Amino acid sequence: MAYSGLSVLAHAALGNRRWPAIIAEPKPRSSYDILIVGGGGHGLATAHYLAANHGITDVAVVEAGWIGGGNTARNTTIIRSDYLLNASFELKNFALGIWAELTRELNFNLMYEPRGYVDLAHSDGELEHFTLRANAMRLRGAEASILSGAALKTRVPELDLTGEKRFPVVGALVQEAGGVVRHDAVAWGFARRAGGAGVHIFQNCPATGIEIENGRIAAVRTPLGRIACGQALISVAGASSAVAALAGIELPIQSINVQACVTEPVKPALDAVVNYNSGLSYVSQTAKGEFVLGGATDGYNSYARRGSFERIEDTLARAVQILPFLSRLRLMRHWSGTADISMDGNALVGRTPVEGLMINAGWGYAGFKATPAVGWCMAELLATGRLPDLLVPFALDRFETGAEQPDAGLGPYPWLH
Amino acid sequence: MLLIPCPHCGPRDEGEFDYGGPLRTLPPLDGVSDAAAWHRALHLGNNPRGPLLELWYHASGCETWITVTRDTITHEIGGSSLPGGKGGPG
Repeated sequence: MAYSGLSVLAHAALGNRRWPAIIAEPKPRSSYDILIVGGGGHGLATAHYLAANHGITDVAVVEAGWIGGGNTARNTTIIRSDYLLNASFELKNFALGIWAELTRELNFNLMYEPRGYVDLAHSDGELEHFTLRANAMRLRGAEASILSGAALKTRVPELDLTGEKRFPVVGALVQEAGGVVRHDAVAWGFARRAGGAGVHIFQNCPATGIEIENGRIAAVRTPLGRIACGQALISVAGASSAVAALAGIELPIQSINVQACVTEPVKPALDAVVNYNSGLSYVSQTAKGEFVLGGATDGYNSYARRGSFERIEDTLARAVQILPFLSRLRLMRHWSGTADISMDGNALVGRTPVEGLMINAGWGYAGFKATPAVGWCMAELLATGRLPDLLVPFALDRFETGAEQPDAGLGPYPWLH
Repeated sequence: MLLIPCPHCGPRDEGEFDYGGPLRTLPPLDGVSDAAAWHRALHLGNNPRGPLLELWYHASGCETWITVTRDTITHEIGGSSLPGGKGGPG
């Protein structure tokens, strides 16, 4: 049943006792056309677009935890497309277009708020580079502007522009189409829509084995038993190395912890997502009033989903440099996620050496914003067998062919990205 | 917060160290033109869930590279030594 004002009234009249579950609990079949390992945003978006764009519903999603419990619900909800490299920009800008319509398409309130992304530059040289990036974005059809001085003060009045800080703010790249989307609603929205179309979603159901016959995917073993499949997708951020190893595939990935936290809620004070670039600290305010803060990775391999206090301290110290009023707020919650970071810091999306087995991994801590675009393109690959142009640069074999996509240009050291 | 036992300096805060990643040994690549061999050597490191032998550089200390055994799930440190195997008080 579609959510609407009418459905709210109807259910209110019934005492709100008969709302259907968002995610059904189907009876597993022994075989599916397509099996998706990983029920995060990317995997569920793939399931949704297989049904919505290609009419393929003989699809199952197996999720080791629960829907909205993995990295989809551990990021800082930011969406943007201010990238210099064509591959990164095109895919994320495509996603930005989808985000704008997605609440309506899924009939699920994703709390999409394009309140603007403000990327701060701390030196003239950095602002020059941001100008290059803004111009590149404009040439490819996106909107971007470079603000400094009074214009930046007007856009984000709370910013400390006194120039007295260790790394003063000299200007910013502003993408007004950027913003925030409620992350767990994205997982629920895709899951509800895909499930409604006939896709089977199984929670608490990790892949425990992958069967390959004559170089082709045959089945995935799970606690529910062996599930045969025509094709499969591995989309398990944080566990990519382990799950790909089940298929005998070694990935150029290292897994590293990333932390985030929120403050107590206060009245609206910040209407943009602000990113501090000397080091890394990104800040936004939720609709509830909390400030969400995130920073760089902890910088060493970890699956612990808890990190060092040093990184939190670092992130907060940088945040109060640009938004001094934050120093008076108390932290309410803090959490971590495991980021799979590849050797060039960019994602691995597409085919694997195993026929019929696709991979979507290595998004590091930058995958949320790409969610609907990856789902859209991966569904096209699975449904038609043709690799969409947007995915070509993200090939798994690019390290062998020398076609790396190094956004940050830091070399093959994942812990630096 | 990691307390890393430096063989020279004793237990020190992780903030004093730079990370060098999992310890890997490059195979001889002189004269090797096979792209797959280079790929394996340069890009495919171990990324285990569990004990990992890794490199740390004690930048704000003895300025020495050390090897540390650390569990990537619990962050428990099993011990440390100097590359080449010489153990220390850690």
